[in-house]
Amino acid sequence: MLKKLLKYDLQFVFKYWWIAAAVCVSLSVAGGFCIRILASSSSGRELPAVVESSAISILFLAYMAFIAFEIISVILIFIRFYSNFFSDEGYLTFTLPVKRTSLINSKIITTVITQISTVMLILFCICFMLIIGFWEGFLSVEFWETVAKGINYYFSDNILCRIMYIIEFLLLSVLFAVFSNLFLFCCITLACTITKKARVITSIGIYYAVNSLISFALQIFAIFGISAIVEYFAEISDKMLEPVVCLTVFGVILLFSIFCVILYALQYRMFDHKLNLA
Amino acid sequence: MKKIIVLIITVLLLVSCFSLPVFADKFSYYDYEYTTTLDPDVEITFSEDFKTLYFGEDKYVIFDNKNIYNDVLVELENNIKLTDAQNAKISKIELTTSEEGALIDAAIKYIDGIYMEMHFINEEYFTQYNDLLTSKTAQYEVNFMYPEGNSVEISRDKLSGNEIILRNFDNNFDVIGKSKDGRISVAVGLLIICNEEFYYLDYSEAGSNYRDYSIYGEEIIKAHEITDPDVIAALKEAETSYYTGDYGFFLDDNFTKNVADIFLVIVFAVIPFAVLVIFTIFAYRSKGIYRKMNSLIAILCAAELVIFTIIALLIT
Repeated sequence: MLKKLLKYDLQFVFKYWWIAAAVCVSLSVAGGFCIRILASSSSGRELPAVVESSAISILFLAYMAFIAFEIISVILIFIRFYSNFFSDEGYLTFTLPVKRTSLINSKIITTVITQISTVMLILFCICFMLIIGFWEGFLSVEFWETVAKGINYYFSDNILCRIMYIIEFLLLSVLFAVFSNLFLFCCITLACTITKKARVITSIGIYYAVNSLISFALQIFAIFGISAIVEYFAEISDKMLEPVVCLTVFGVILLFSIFCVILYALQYRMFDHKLNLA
Repeated sequence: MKKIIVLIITVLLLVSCFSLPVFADKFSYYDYEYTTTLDPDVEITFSEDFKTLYFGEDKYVIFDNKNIYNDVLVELENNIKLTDAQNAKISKIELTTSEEGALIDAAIKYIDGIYMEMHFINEEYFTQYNDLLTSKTAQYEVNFMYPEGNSVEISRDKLSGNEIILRNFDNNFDVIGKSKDGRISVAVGLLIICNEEFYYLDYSEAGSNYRDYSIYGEEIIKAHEITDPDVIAALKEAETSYYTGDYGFFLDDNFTKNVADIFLVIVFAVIPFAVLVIFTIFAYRSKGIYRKMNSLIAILCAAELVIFTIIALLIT
């Protein structure tokens, strides 16, 4: 049943997602050509002011489109979550012969897939824009030699730790996406269990209140924790430094995992005991 | 009721707004009042030639050595008793003194319009200073600032050693011919500790310039090695307690580091341990899916504690 839930969740999200994606891609293509125009003007060729200002405006639009695309993809997930559970549709959702965990898991997986797709597409659009804009550079042998040199240099020392860094970075990104979305799901669910009216505003209020507390705690950590960690790392020998950094990042991943599971448990409990759609 | 609460809060806010400038004013740096240790009731007299000032029984002699000239900040309101001959010549005398009362400045205005400033120094203090400069002092006392009262007495005859030159590079000192990247950790009067070795300044060599001056303003300093083993042992013991003295948690130089260490331990060890215990209890008492979730949280916390322990062992 999880597959069916995923199918309908992804259908809902990508029904609107692809429109924003298409706009991003087309603006990135336009942006690439604008970069070529501006590059030619900076190399001595004079352009009319209208052309130059239009090129800059399109580049600015492309930049805003990337930000808007990210926001839209997140909003789509939350709209799906809210409408699927807390609107009239919610009555049907909770009568389906599926476990509560499947409902939550389907939303989490949809979130992860959507956010990964969004980030990959934005990166692709930026690369595409740069390739169009600096076509000659990308075709040159020197560019690819520099890229190869960079990759060689990165993996030249302590290859195991370097691979671990990449894996940990990806894991941390996914966990962070899961954590941030679970956090907002919990805020929405909590608001819906507390109030019957103005649920959206209440959920936004709860979100900002808890987010402020988290930001405050993070600031205190930034003041005391980070400087202490950097000081300790400075005293470690070069040989042990990378393994210790790997272990520390792994410790942070475990911390995030703990938060995610706690939020998941909280979400499940609210669905199981607290929800009253009457 | 709501109106009363709003009124109380408004009043409190207004009171705090008006009181803050008053407090700020009280603690304003520019309003600091300097005081002196000299007794304001003591009568002041001068010798006929104005080369000596008598502050009760204390004698102040005239001097013009700027190297021992401190800030003279406090006006003396004492009664000045002049002889008839002095009164006939002088229209006004204003006296100011330093905080510890060792120096007195006299601004004298004569009847014929002549204006003079004269500087007087406490004779006893001046004698000690001169003894120090001419190496007549038999015993030096090196006072470490922390902990209070920590000092070492070094007799003059134990101070002998090769001359060395300390060269200042941006307030890090090289001992020329011996070491590089020295760090002067203590410079107390005649004593210099550089790179954990002990040197002393011979004031009679340096002259008056070395009294109460900052070595960090000098490019080249001539000092001598302290070689006497008893003196070195006494200084090492005093210096060790200087650095390991119990200043209390908040006065320690490592206060920030201590707080950061405690913070890290709380975040990465104490909180996961507490969560582990709580969720282990929850897992034991719950059933079904809740038991699985609580167990998973407990396992993750345990893994976090293991990782933290490994990192702590590797770092230390």
